[in-house]
Amino acid sequence: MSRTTIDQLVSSDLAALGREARGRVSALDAMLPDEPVRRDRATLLELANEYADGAASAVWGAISLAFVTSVLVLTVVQDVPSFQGHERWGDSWFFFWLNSMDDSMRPCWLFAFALVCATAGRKLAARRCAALIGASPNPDETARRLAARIAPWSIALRTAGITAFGVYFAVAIAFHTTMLSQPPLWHWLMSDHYMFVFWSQWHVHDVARFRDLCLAWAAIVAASVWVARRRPPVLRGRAVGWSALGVALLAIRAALWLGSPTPAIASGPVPDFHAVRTLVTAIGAIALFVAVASSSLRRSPTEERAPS
Amino acid sequence: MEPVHARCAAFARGLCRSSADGDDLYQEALLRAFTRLDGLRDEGAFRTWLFRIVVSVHRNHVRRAWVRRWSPFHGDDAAGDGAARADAGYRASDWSPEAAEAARRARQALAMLPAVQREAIAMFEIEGMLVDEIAAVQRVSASAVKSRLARGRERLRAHYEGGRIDDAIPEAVPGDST
Repeated sequence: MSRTTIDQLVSSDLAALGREARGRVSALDAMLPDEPVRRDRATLLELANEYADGAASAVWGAISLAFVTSVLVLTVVQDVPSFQGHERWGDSWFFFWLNSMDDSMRPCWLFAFALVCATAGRKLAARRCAALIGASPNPDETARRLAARIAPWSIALRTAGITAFGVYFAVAIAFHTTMLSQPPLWHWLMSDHYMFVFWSQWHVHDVARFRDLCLAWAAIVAASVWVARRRPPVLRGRAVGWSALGVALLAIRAALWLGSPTPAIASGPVPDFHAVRTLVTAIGAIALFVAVASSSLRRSPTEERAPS
Repeated sequence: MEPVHARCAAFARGLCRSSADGDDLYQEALLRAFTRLDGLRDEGAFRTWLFRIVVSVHRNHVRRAWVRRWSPFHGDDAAGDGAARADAGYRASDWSPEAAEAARRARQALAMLPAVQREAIAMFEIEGMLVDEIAAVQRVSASAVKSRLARGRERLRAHYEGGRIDDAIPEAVPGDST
């Protein structure tokens, strides 16, 4: 075919496409529902999404909290031979697995486990939400009630879990530098998980550190429940959250900086040097709590939404 | 809104592989337009503004389609057959099979073009817009639009000449001098 013929064919095909495209265009109202209807649908979807996200956050928080709690409990069990469960714990496969040096993928397994649980939780929550909304004569009200019901759990568990996890490792890292001739703790986190668990537990074995951690754990859980119940508006501010995160990072860095090499102190009274570092770490922990609580509150804006 | 609605919907349909996809694209553009209506300063430029939104949404779709192409979680959606079936409901009852085939060929050829050339060709050839109007929608100079039109047309020609759709070309084409 000649160039002219091809050009004519292209033009006629495009004209046919134009005619087809202009045919049977739906009315504007049919393509775009009324403003209130659209807003209601958007709100419904937003609430359903909030419920599923809340469930996933709660699962993440619960697993983080369970991890830190189990480390603290296991430290006690491991150190007290007179404890009833000591023998059973020592012979269990979990103890063997936790302390074996073969499995370098252990942190990945833990993370994968948490990820699978959170994904499954989100899926189940989404399915339940869809079923309840579908069966309800008043879907908006049902969705709003579901979102309001999950919000306190999500806020409390997420805040407590993430903060406890952060504080545990902040304490372990901040007080590690008392050890001479040892690389920083995150070196072990990257290269050898067994050594990481070993050294972090070694620091937790310090009586004062263990006591501080238990106190911090209790305070974090209690404060998280308080935040979930009261939801103070001042914490919702984005500036508050980010500033607190900055303070937390600076404080942990300062605690590290204060930890110049000194002989290890495994027990006994806490000297002044440690007292300063404990104070700085405590400030970091409080700031971290504020940052996480602020983030959790911003993720659950149920109370701010006006009822329909 | 009403005078622009039909033309804009037709433009969106011309950009996509099927009229159903075009309507989805146009609906998304309408939603975006409604949420950003406060940002429209010159009401006289409403048509250009709406076309510009359709173009923006179309480019987002193209980007997403590119990502989906590399994703292991999206198989081929058999766009050709599905689109043909979907388009059947959009045609008038007196629509001839030859015309439907011509429209399908045009869609197939347009799909081969880069997004900017496809938009320019659709606005110029399907909507009959002027070069200056297209330039305002695409936020480029008139000469850039002319260049896009020429290159797009050249690619369409090459696509038709390449034999990929020769089988579908009817026997008797008006003005065929070969």
